[in-house]
Amino acid sequence: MLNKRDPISVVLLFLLILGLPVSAGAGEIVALKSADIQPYNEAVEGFMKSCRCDVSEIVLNETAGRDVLEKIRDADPEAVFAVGMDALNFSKTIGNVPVVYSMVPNSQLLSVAQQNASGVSMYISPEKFIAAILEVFPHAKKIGLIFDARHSGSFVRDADSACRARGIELVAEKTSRPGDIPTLIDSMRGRIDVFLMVPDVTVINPESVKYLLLFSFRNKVPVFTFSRKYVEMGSAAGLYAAPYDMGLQAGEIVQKIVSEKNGKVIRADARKTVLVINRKIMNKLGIRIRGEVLGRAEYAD
Amino acid sequence: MPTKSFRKSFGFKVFRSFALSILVVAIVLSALLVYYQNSMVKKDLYKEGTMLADMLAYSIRTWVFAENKDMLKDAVQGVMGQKNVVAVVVYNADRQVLIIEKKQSADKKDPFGNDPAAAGKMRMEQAGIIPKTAEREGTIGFLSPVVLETYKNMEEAIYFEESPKQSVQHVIGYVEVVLDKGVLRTEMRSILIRNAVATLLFLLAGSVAIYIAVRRLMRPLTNLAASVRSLGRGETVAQVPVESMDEIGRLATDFNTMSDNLKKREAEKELLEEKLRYAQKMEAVGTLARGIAHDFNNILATLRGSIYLIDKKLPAHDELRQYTRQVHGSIARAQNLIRGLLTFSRTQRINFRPADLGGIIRRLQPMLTNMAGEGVHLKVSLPEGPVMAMSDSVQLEQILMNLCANGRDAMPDGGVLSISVEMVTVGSEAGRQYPPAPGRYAVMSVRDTGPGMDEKTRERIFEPYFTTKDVGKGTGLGLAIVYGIVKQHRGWIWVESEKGEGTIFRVYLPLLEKNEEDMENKSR
Repeated sequence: MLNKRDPISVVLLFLLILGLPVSAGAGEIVALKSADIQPYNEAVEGFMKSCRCDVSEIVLNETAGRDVLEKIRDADPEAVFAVGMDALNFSKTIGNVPVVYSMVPNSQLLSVAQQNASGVSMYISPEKFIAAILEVFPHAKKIGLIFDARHSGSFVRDADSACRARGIELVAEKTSRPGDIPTLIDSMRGRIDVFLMVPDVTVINPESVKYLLLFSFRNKVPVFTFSRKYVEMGSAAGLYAAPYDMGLQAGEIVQKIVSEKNGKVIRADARKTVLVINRKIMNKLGIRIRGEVLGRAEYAD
Repeated sequence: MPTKSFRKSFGFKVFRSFALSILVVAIVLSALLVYYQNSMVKKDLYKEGTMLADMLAYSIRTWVFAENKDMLKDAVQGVMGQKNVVAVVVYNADRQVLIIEKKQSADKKDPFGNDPAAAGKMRMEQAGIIPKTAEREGTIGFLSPVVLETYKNMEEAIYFEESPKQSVQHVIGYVEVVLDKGVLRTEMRSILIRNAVATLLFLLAGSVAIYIAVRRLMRPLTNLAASVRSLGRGETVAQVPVESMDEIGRLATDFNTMSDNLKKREAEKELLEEKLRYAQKMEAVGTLARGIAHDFNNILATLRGSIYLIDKKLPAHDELRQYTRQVHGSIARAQNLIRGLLTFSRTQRINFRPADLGGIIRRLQPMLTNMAGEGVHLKVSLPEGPVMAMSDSVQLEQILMNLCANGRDAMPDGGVLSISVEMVTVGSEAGRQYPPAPGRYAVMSVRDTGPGMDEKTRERIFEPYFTTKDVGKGTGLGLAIVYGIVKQHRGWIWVESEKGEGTIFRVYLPLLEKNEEDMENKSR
């Protein structure tokens, strides 16, 4: 029992109250961006919205590596929010500060050094892609893709399963050489209804994309892609992870990590995807899109 | 064609030197220009080849990547349409020919030989690295790599338009654009012709300009040379026009000065020659007079002796005595004439003593006044001190008497007869028109205000028996006697007279200075 008249007890009680956490929000966080580009900025905005913390931003490719490290150490943050693959790679040099990433292609492909990092990847499951393709192109029966088994083996397996589940065929061509891609693309002439561009570094390069798009125009085969930029270049449609929402997700993860402080690694894939359509390309390919689909899609034309 | 004399002239040498200089400058400039233009043409060809190869390499990246020969052929044929392109070869990354296009032309060599693929491959392998150009006989091949651009971190880069990553370039093939070097030869020929014509025109225009300039420059010199030649031939030379103040102008000025001096010297020489001739004439006349006088004197002596003897034999009151008296009188007049002639011919014995000219005049002044008569006013102007000369005072009196009588006779209607004595220093100044020789002189002048003499009279007044007086009024020996006495005194007599201006006679006698006078007196 505390004696209410004992002044010492009253002071001790006051100090105890001051020492208790007043909310579930985190302290200062450093947002380390690989570059100062729009999707990354959107991710940071989402992060700031959800983490309810002070965020100071550092752009990695505008500052020398040693300076970045000094800045981060000077800030002594509770966590680092790494936006982009380069930022995540750099964050492993910081030391014992929790790292939460975002805008990273695929969590499953992270290196051993990055295994302790929590965060949200841009990975969209094959099921979602297949569902979106069928939503935009409901008459598609054969979906073609080219992949390198080293990078996209599991994705293609899952895609094949998803296709089978929906009663359609996946025409997948395997390669390990970028030089073979034009030939493989040409080999799909007349065999597919839609081409699914998968985020595979062996397959995707500027020339292969140009070739694929030319193939698409010549053979009236729409290309469904994983990034808005290819829709703007000439793909018919695409599905990509919403950066702002990924930032929100990352903010929530930071809150959990900071508040629980149990060293648990929390990883997730982007929960929200955005369907993007190039109407001009659709028109050129002679494809009509249902109104309800158009209503909920973004346009990149 | 220049004349032979022009080819030998200084102007032609100047013209030739300048023309040669222009020729050398024109050739050097032309050579530099040809070299520069040739470099420019070659540079342009290289630029064109490099640009075509680079453009083709850039535009066919996709088709090289895809090794799509149909599409490659379309692109390559576009380049083949260019003017100087004779062949295009596209290789893959392994340097194997993907496509080769070439113009089949009979007059052009196949730039690749029989096996273009092998030739191209061999060239690149031999080089180790890919050369930018491959120069062959008749053609130049321009090589450019076909580059595929990827990113360092492909995983991330494939997602976004604005790539945050550094790009990485992979060579996926090569392009060789082969240009015909014939254009170089054609251009070179054209450049050579243009430059040769330009050089010729430059040389022609320069030569004409220099010829005109040299002619203009040489004109004063030519005039001067002509004047010098005329002067050399002894012709009368007019003043050379002085057109400038440069060396040639100064030369013309100096030539004019020299010409003037020569003219003065010539005039002086002519005067001296005239005087010499006159002196020689007077000498000859004197010699003649002297001879006649001697012989005649001897005859007169015989006549006088004979008449004396006749006179002795005749009775005192003989009628014939009147004839002997007439003969005596005639002999006496003849002897007077003989004395005059002897005085003129300077055979009279002279008794030289220091004599004061002023003193002699003062002594004779009353007699001279009487002699002048009433109509003539005698004006005597003498210095205060003595003016001494080694002379025979009797002879000097004779001079004075003769000159004054001459002056008086020249003024029948009256006038002024002025007599003066002065000391004069004759210098060696240039341009002096007459003797005496430089030195100090005692000068006695007699001037009348008569009608004066013309030049013709003036030239003969010292000749014996020359007179302008009426017959019987003068013997014609007065001035001849004066001339003879002056010459015997080693002096000079000078007459100045113009018609209507009167006449002045100046008698120059060597001045006897004080110390000379003292020495002379001591020696006596």
